[in-house]
Amino acid sequence: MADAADPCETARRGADKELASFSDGEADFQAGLWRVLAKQVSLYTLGESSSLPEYDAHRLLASACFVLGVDPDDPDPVLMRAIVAEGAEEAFEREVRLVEREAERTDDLWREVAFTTPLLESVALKDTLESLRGFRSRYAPRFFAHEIPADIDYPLAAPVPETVQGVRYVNTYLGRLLLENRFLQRFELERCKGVLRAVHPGYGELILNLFEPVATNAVGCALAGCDVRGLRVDDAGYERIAASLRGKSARQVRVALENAAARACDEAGLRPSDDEPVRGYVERLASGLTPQVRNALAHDALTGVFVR
Amino acid sequence: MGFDLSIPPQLQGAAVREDLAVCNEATAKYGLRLTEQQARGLAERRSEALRATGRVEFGRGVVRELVLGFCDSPYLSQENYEETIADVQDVFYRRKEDSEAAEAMADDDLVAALRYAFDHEAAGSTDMLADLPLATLRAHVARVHAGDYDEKTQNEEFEEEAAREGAEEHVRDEFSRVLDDERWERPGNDYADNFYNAYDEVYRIGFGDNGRIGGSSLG
Repeated sequence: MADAADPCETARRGADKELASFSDGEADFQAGLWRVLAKQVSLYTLGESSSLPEYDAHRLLASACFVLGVDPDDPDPVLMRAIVAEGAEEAFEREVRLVEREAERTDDLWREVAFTTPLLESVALKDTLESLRGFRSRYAPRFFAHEIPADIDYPLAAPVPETVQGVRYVNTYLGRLLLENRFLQRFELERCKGVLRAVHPGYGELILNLFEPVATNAVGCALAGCDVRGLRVDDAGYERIAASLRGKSARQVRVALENAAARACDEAGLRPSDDEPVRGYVERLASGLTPQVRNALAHDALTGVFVR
Repeated sequence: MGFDLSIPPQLQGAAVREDLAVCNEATAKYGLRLTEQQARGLAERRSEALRATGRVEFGRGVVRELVLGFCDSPYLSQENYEETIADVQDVFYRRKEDSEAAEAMADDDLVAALRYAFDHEAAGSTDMLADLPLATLRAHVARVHAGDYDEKTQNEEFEEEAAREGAEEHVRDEFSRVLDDERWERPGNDYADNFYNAYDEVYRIGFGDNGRIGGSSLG
């Protein structure tokens, strides 16, 4: 009776009970996951072997966790319980089909990116696209869904987080690359080349994003009131930018840059109704320029951000 | 937390019980039996062998295959049963890992090769089995695949041939019938009663001084 009345003891027992229940759920999940993996090993070895080297076992485990959406280092108890309730094998088969469906999109997405890539020299972009050609035929959603059988060297202006794996990384990467291409397509090739040469004369050989300098200069032009399609900020333009932003807070600078990005998109012919993803992408880039612009204002070095 | 690659205890317990039931049922006719404690010991040895060889097994393991593959070996008795299976299990995982360097050997092939080597080259010694080169086991596997060790092959060929020719009676049945008929026609022991019995004759006549039968005429 005394124990039951003690609130600390009651809380401790409650916590113990919850922990035990979590451990039980976790153990059940792991048992289900192991059954999935036993079947995976059998399929992977064509029924010839029940064991496999540790390296391959880790790959199969990582793939199964990716397919089930479980972070192996920090699994979500709610998700684990849901998988146990459904049955790990059933959940795995269902999710594998979803991954396969995502992989079916990749080659179409790649084709679209390849057809829309502007003829700007970039060895990294060319190699990356070549490496992603026929991705689906090399991708193994059933066994190694978390892996990317391609060499992706070309950097995006907004990199895909490393936590995104497998076909989801590739599709997100290609989707973002497509947005960058759609923006670049709005500008004359020679003007884009001019901006990129101003960044570095040998830009084609560098691992350098092609979109970022062009979009930055477009935002700069909009901010300075220059011709956005011209992609060049003149001396008076730099002074106007400095005059409008000097002494303003980071938040005010960020808002000004985002508004300028929206104007640049308008002038580039990217309409809110059809090209919202591209506009959002450019606005996020402009927002990210805030610390650079504030630093450049402090050192009177705006040409370091919006190149001549 | 993170998932390690060790076998969850509840799965291991269930697998041990299932293996035990299957193995004991199959080996009963050979007078071999594992206790639950021995089966647990084999499961622990399996975990150690996997750790030692850097391998991982998500399923129930190969104890069942090893027991079924080795139970009719003439070198296996209840006294050495558990120890032999445990040692062979170690050899199995070591050889399995060794074989990964080139073409990995299938579990069934490796069990069959180990069994053949155990009965022949190793003569029932697990130490000798462990020292056998992988190439020898691969050679056994190749011969198993070629059918060299298949004692039934010739008979099966007869059967198949008979089936192709549409014989109503199986060839082996026909052989058995002929042998049985001959056996029935064979004469009994009294059939030779009046035959010349050289053995009795020798002792009846006796030996001479020089050891010749019936004595020497040369004096």
